[in-house]
Amino acid sequence: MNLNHINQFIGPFMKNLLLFAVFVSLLFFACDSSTSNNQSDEAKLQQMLDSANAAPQDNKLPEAAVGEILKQIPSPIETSVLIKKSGGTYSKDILNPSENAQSYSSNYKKALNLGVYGADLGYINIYEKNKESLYYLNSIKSMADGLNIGQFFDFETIKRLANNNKNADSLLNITTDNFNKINSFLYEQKRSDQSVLILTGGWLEGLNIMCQIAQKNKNPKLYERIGEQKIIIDQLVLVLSNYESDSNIKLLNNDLKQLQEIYKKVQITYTYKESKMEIVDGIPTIVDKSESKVNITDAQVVELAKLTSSIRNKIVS
Amino acid sequence: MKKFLILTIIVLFTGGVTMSQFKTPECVAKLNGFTFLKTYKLDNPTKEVEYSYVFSKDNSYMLIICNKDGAQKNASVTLYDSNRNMIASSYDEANKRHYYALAYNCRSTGIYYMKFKFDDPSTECSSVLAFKR
Amino acid sequence: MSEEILKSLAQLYAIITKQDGGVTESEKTFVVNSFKKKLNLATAEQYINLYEEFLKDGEGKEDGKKKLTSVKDSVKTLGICRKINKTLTQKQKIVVLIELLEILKSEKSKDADQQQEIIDTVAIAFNIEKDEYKTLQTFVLHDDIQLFGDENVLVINNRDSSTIPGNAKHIHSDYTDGNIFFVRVKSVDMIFLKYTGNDELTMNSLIIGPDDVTLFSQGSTAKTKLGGVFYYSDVLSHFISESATVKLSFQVNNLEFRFPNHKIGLRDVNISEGSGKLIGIMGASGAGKTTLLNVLAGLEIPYKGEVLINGFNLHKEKEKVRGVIGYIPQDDLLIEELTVFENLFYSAKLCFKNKSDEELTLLVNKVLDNLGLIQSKGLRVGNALNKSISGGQRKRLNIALELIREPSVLFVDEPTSGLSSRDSENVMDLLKELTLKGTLIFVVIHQPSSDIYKMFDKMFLLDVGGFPIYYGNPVEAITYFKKVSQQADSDKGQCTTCGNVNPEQIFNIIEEKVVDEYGHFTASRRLTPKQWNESFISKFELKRVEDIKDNSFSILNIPNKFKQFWVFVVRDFKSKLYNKQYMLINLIEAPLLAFILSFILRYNNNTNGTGYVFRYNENIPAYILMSIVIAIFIGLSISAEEIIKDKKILKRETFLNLSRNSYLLSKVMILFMFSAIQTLTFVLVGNAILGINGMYLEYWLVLFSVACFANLTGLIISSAFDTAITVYILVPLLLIPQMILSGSIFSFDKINDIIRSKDKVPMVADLMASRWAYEAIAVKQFRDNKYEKFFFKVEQKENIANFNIIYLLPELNERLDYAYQNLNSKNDSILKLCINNMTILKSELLKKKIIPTSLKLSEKDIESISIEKLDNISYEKYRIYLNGLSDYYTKIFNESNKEKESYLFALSRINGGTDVNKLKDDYFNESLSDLVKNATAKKRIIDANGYLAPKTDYIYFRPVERRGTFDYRAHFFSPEKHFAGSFYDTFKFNIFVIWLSGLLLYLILYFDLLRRLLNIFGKVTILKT
Repeated sequence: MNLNHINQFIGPFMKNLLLFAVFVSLLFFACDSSTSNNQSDEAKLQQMLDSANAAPQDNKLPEAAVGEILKQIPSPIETSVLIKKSGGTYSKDILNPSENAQSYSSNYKKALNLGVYGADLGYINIYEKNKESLYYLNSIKSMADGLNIGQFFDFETIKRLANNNKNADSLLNITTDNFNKINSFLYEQKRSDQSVLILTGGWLEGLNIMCQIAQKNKNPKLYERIGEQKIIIDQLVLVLSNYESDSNIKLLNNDLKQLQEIYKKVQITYTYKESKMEIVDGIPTIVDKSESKVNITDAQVVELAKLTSSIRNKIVS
Repeated sequence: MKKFLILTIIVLFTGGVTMSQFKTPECVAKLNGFTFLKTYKLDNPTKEVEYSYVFSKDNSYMLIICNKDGAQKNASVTLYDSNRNMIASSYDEANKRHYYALAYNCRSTGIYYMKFKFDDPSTECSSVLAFKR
Repeated sequence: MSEEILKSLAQLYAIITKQDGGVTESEKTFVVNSFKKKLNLATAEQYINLYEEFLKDGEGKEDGKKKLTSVKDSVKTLGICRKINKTLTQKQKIVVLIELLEILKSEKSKDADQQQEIIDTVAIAFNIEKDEYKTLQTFVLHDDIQLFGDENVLVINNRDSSTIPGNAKHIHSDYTDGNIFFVRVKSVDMIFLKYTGNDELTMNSLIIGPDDVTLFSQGSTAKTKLGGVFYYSDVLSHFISESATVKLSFQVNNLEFRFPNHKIGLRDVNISEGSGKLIGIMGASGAGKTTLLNVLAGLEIPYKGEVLINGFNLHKEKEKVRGVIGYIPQDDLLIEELTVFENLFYSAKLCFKNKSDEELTLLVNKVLDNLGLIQSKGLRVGNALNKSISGGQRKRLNIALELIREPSVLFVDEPTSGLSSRDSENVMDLLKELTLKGTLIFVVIHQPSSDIYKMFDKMFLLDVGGFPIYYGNPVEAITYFKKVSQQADSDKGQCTTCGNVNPEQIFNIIEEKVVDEYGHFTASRRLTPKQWNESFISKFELKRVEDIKDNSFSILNIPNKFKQFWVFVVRDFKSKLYNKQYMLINLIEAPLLAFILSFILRYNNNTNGTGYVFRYNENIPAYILMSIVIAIFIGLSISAEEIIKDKKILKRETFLNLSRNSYLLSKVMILFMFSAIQTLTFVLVGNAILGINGMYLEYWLVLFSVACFANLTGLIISSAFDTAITVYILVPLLLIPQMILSGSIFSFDKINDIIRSKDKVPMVADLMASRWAYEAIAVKQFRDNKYEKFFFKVEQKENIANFNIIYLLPELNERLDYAYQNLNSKNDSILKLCINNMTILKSELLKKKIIPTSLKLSEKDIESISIEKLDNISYEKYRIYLNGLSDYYTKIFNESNKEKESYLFALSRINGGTDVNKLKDDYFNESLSDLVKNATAKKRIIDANGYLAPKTDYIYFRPVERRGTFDYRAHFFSPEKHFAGSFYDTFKFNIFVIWLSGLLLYLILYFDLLRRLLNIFGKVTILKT
């Protein structure tokens, strides 16, 4: 049986089928090679992961306590309103540029900056710069999506409101509400570490805005409010220390502790007097007679401003 | 192709949130110049719930109680200062009257505690905290 | 004859005649007459004088040496012969030699030794073979029949064959007196005749004198007064009948042919021929000549009657007569881009299995030489607009293509049309030569010249309507028609002085119109075709040749299928290669398009306004689609005309019975090669400009597959339609649905409900190669790029868990609550909803049964979920279970989330610090990510036939819902496909599907199903009308 017979038997059709089969298997090998490549990188990754200390979370505070503290932290909106009322003009430059959103890849950065942008958004809304807010809403969306909490933003409604200057109030309300919901959700999902980061980011940004403007305006009310943040930073540091097993959070907390140190020099005194109640428009209204006073010097503000700025810049870059 | 162009301009968010949340449009409508801050869910009837918040000096805060059908007969909120001294309540014990809101002009910054209570299990209830400078 | 030759002749005559004792009177007379015969009087005188001068030159000096041939004379002779060798052809030299021999004969008195010697010298100098010379010598010098025993001699007399000496040939004829001798000079293919007898012999109406040795040329007729007629072809055939290699009998019995509309094309045709004959078919336009040829060749099937070759029915026993028939149609079927040599070479390769390339080259060169094409063998054939070789050469090449195979029966359709008279004669000479080798040739000829007309052995005439009206000797035809129409000088078939025949005369007679009373021609003919036919039948009786039952002739020696395949490939590739325009366009088209596309789609999209970042290029999904569309388009257009171009050549090669498979596969292979190169260049350019890194091979694989698919589609339509225009009009019809149903321009969720499927890709779309290709690339690009590949698995876990937490479980809860609350509703539609809800709950929980929960819900419990079983207790159980699931997924989510973070961290540290952002910028595309996750969906979960289908995060979800083992269907952008119990990576699966459909297309191509389908439709419409 010579070659001719074989050729004739197989025929070109079969031969081409053979070629096809060879081709297909090459295809598979080619693709497999790409996955094997993947594995070598993955193997490296695995090594890194194994070597990293995956110590279990050491909760010093019970979850409930954490939740409570988190809820106490005032919304950055209050800061924005204060700034506006103090006569500050709208300045876009002190905000975190919305484009930075693209460079945040880790959850840590995403959560922190979600808070930052939330504060920025409030600032924008107070000054009714609704067109700006669209960009920030985009960034917020991408942060939120990255953290798998994007579903909390009813973006269609928000966008609609943002396009109409008359709806500043509604816009503000809705975004605030959304942020609240996010934080509740994260807490329920036992992801309060992310919730903490969001709030910390928001708070830090608020403080930064205040400091920047205070240095220009030298408004005593602003100074006072900056000083009052001492109360909050104590709470924050306390909560954050819960999560120091995460190296990023640990570093952040170290920075905040430095800030806390400066705040130790700020004095808040408190005088108690009984409050007076009246019924105004059918609502019991209490006028607070007690008073709190903040002792803060220019120099301290400068110091705080500088440190806040540097911590904040670390977060947003 | 067009679809992706549209994507640039309009980034569509997801709607259809299916979380069972109590929405607070009615409460928000009563704000009257106050800026919305928080919503407190009250879903544990007959039990007292406590929330806290840092009130800041020179701000006026308002706590509004929202019921589905407006009847706030069975809900009340009581405000305490950082030393847990009672400041006020939306329920007038003496006149057995429930007010739907409580306002507070703050002059001392600090942690304030709010205790909520409502008795009717059949309704949903929540409270809204708002502020004004 | 030129001056030189005449001068040389004069000299030779002088030398010869003066030998052996000087010139004699009879010799002189002979020379004088010889000159007078060839030239006009004046010139003859001139040369006669010259001759006499030469005579004087040699005379008077050597009285004593007259007996010996002088050396001087011999030398002179040689000199003259050398001169003659340079100027005369061999044929002419033979004629000269015979003249010289005749001189010898003319003087019988002399002792002609010296003369003989000189002539011997001449013969040697002329390079005439010894044996031939001897034969000629005997032929010219002697009359005694007993001396003519040579096999190259033919004798016609009225005696018996046994009286013929040796190997000489013999024709017995009662109409001869004496002997007519023919000698054949094989080397120059000439026949001379001589007559010894008392009768008057005329050749072509010229009287042949006694002792005259006359050239008997082609088409000549020798006639005796007694009535004997002897044709050149008959004489020749006697000489070569022994050397005929094939014994052949071709019988046509009572053949009738009808057209598809039942009109009669041929009526009662009867033909009977053996091997080695040239038969002409003539007739007016529309008479049926080509039809007859086609039926005889086996291309058409007769309505009645039969065609038998060596007893085998041509139409019914095709296999037994394979390779016997050759067919040369009127249009030339050459491959324009190849050279003359190459055309023939590759054709030869397909005919001869066992010849090596060297042998074939030799054979081809020989044939080319025979046809006088050897000088132009390196020229490209060209086409009508781009001629490199003349029309005659083209025709000859066409003939060569058939000749090389040496078929036993050859059919030629108008070989001389459009050729100059010289070329026509060349072609006919060629055919005539073939018949000498034994081929039977049928030629449809139109308006032949006189010479050509005389070449035919027989003429078959058809009149309008397929009526045979003559079948016999060509020259006699004229006589016959003249007689029938009662014309004068009807016994003169050809012109007596010039030998010309006028075939036009025949048609003038046939078609003669009736003249009316005013002397004008009317439209009606004097004799109708039917009348001519009747006349013919009554006057002629067909002499049947002997039936030969020998099937050894069918030696179809075609090479095996693989060799054929290879020849097709090489031939086709060469012809494409030489078409520079074609190659250039095909090779440049793809990268050029890639450049245009990617250049336009690359825009500065970086957030700070400068530069380009791959990640934010929103055109990438569109680019993927366009690449696929371009691949399909190019694939279609390159193949759409392929088979149409070859249609004529294929027709010719049907006689060779070549493998259709080999042909198709050769086309396929070449087209695939082009597709490979085109798609490769496309990907290299396009992907590079757009910054799609690290995916070149993957893109190429998909685009190549798709292009091959398009190639096969193109081939199918190319095979089914006859004109290229039809094909190109079809291209949009094939291309647009691919675009529409690719899933890219129009989402599968937003199309007509009839087509749409809630949770899977619509079946219609599954028919589109573009859908498989698009999905393959999108999935691959998203999942396996250098950035995402680290995160995909963990993201998958994370997203699926998230989906459950946010959408699935709340939905189940809601539905469960609804069902529980409306358990006892009296409303039918509400109850229906409740039942549906419970069904969904059951099916979803069943899917999750492998998830361990510490809750007391067993598989059996889950399987028994139904509206009937719903009560307080079960409701509670279900709720708890659902909550447990929620906790479970929360845990999974958080774990995956953390894991992802740690991956990110680790990634940034490997290789000494990687900029993860840059990695993402270079390899990850946001728009594509949104696409495969369906990030913009409004409804993220829907009720799809009893279970909940996710409408987001497509890329993360495996197809879970299966309707059967072979259910391969899944949602768009699914990362895996299920089939027969296993899961396969989408990329590989999709490519496999494309190739599988390609295979299917090939089968459609092979069985020409599209053409058959169209034929059925065609018949339907015909029936309707």
